[in-house]
Amino acid sequence: MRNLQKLLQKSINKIFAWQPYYIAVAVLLILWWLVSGLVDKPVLPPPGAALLEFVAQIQMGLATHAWVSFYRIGVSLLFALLVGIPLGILFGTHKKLDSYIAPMIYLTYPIPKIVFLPVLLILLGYGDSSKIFLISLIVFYQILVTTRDAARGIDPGLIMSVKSLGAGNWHLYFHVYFLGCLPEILTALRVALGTSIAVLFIAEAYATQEGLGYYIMDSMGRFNYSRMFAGIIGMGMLGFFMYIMIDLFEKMFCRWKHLEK
Amino acid sequence: MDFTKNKNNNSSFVHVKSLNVVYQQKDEQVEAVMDVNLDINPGEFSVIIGPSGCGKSTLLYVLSGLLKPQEGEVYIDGQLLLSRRNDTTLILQDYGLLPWKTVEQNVVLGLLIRGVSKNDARQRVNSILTDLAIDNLAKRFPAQLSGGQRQRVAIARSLALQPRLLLMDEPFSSLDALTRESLQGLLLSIWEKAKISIVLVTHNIEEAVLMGQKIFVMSKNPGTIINVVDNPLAGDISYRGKKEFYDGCAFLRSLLQ
Repeated sequence: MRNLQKLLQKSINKIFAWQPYYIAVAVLLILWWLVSGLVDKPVLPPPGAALLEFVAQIQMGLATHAWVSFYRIGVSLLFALLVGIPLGILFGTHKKLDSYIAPMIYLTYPIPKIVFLPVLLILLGYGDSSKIFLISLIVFYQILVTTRDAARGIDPGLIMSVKSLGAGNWHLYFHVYFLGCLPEILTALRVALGTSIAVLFIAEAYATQEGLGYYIMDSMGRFNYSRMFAGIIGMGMLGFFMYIMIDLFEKMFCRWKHLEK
Repeated sequence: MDFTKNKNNNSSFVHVKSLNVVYQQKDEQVEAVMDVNLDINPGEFSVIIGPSGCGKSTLLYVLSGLLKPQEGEVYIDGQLLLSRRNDTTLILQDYGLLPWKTVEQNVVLGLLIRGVSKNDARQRVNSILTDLAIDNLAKRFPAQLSGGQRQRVAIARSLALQPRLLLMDEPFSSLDALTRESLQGLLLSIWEKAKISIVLVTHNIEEAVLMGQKIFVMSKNPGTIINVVDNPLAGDISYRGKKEFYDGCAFLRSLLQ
């Protein structure tokens, strides 16, 4: 009986923990509804119509498009992390090397890499690889620079003390640098996720027949605005879902950052 | 209490011969430690005391094998010290605990790095945490501990590696008086039980007299050992209340001035 009560209390607490989300969704829907009422043109349908269309479209291919977009973003972020984190730690721990690499990074960082899309389409074709490469390339910089700066900021006393336990370089890279930089890496990943969705949209607007970017542009071309907004809702949900995943990951692996004193 | 010159005794556990350490600071060369000679017998509790900036921490890093001296030689257990030794552990002033690992994970780290199997490591860690009365803190993170508890964790992490030489850099300097006294007692009981050699760096005169069977007095500019004090009554907590203890403190103070 008492267990049941506890369980009930727990689920209630959980529901209340989501309260800010309900409020946020409600506020956004009201704002949308107000603006669409003011505009009063088919270009901006009211939220009700868009949501109904969204539900209807899920079975009519929207889910597949969303999956393709999720796959492209997920793989791109994974690549950017796999390359960006080790290089970031390497440059953050090797001053001399960094002094040669840093100018190269700062010179190429501001270049709008989206202009390479035509080149990439020629080199890598019209499939997923050109889009994944473009997104990876752009967010790689964000991961690299953040990781490098975080690695530089690791307390040298910790390195000395873990070395004294007998740690070799690999132990130091994992137990000290990687784990110590993880909160900053996840912050960079959140920023990168926003960037990658924006880049994905542009990349999918050209030379593909799959993905949410294509779906939205295609609906716009057909002047089917409620379908277009169904696509926009899909993109919002995709991003939201991925942010939640990053948050969960951080709660699990960076518990030390969120301690109650 | 008497005062003896350094003996170059080859039966000693730690033997340091004409050691020089120079730091490169910008374009300047800074002499951190100059012409240091010292000998520590097996199982001895020795203390290095001196004003801040006299190079006592530098000397400790050299003994740990993490810092290579420009000149001179260090022998530990008869072997020339070329790199870090598995039977030597070092505890730094601010404990050096990883904030992202729990107490348990911090203590087990050294064992895992050395390739001890997970089961053996866990067992050893559990028994050490119990010995040091911090087993109830196993799942906490360092940020959730008091200074004294952190120091206990740092000691546990060292002891888990079963060292023969334990080096400590001002281990109790940031603790309040009562915590410091209880940890001094703890360290002395560990030393008696485990029969390990301990080198403790401090700038606290009372701590040096209470704990150091042999006290190395260092001077600043140049950082070198100016005196070695034999202090046979050290290592017993009750020593703190005795007249000889106060005499010893006064004597040590006179050497430092």
